[in-house]
Amino acid sequence: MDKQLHLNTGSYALDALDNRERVEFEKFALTDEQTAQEARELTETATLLAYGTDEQAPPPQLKADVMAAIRNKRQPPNPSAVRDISSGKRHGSHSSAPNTTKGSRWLPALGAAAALVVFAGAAGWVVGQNSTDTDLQKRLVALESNQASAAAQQEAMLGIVSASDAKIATTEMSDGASVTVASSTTANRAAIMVKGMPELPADKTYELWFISAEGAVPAGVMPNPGSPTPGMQVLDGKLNGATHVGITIEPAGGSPAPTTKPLMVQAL
Amino acid sequence: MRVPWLRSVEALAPPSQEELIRLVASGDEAAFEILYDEVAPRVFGLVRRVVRDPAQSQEVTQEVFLDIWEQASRFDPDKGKAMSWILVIAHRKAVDKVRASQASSDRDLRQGMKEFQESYEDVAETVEGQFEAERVQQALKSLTPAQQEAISLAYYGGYTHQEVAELLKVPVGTVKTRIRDGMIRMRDRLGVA
Repeated sequence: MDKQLHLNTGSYALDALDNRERVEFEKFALTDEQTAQEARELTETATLLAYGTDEQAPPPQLKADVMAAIRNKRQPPNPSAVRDISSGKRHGSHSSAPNTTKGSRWLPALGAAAALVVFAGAAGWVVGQNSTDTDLQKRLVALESNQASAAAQQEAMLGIVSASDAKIATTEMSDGASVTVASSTTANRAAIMVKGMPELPADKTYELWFISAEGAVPAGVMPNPGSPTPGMQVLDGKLNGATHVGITIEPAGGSPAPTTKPLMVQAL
Repeated sequence: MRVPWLRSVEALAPPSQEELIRLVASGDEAAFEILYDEVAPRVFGLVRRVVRDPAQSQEVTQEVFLDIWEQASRFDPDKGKAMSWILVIAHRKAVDKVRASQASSDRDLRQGMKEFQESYEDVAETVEGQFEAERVQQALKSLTPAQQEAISLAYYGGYTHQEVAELLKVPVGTVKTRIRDGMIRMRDRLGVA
């Protein structure tokens, strides 16, 4: 019995199939690309019909109810999603050669080969799309094995990058500096790598923060760009549900709470 | 989440709705709030048309926004615009509500026809919606009356094609064809594909 399910694309697009028919149609569409394509196009077309209705502002209470409701709603994690959450400038315009001047900091602690394995092959390490891919390639090529950093840093770093939910995100700043944050909820740690950040006077330092709705928790100070210390730094302490990482400029030695507006804030 | 500094560093230009959804996918409540303010009137207007009952419309609208929050990571900007994704969710939920709360026998032909009239004569009042409303009206005008009728009853009335067939007293295959042919013509006219 030929049900001619491909003729249901229009009804599907208008939500005019009953539940049983909808399930049946969706199953069929999975097997027939032409039908799936038509269903997608007609669904897109159908959304324009929405503009045949008047806009109407809902009562203010509805917004309050919605905002309250989402606070209690965990979003399901999407480990296969590439989180290329760059804010401000898109870093697709990253065309310069890998920067090995004193403004840049690469990953010296791991040997080049080991780092390649870690970044490229670790289970679940999700490499960014498009431009982030190229960035990563360039950084790997430019790896220098300078100072060895503490074994603990190395271990924490590996823990982050090899976690199944590891994420990486880069922020470009308006002065050309860039900050890359790697994090993992299961490892409960985050690490940061910076490039091109201006040197600070001796009485000031960059400080890192874990930020959440409760506020900002100190996560360590960053040595000045000029000083010969590792380029990728694991943040002190645990993620513990922080939603963002931030950098502020503080008096040398750091502060217990931010005293200046952040230079950058990166969503995790 | 109240991180007041966030906005000043995060966008050199106001975020697009696609960017807002990406931010929402990472739990950004401030972005969600901006998105709500931008799209709630369009969502609520659509839901009210289909669901009609004010209290139920509010419930459905709340469910729509909860869905947006929870499913934001599933939005794929390569597959379409943010607003389309949102309106598909809104329409589906509105229709589900209508079918759950009303027996088919309640939904008489006169009401269905009234809905068809209203939808056809509607003109958007806001400047932003005007362009789309014009496009929709022109596209609908290019359809046969039978196609317009079937599509309007289904979309704005929330009827299944089976119900539309019963209302119009024609075979369901006829309704399917009218809907599909009409939607294809609209698709081609609106340049979707």
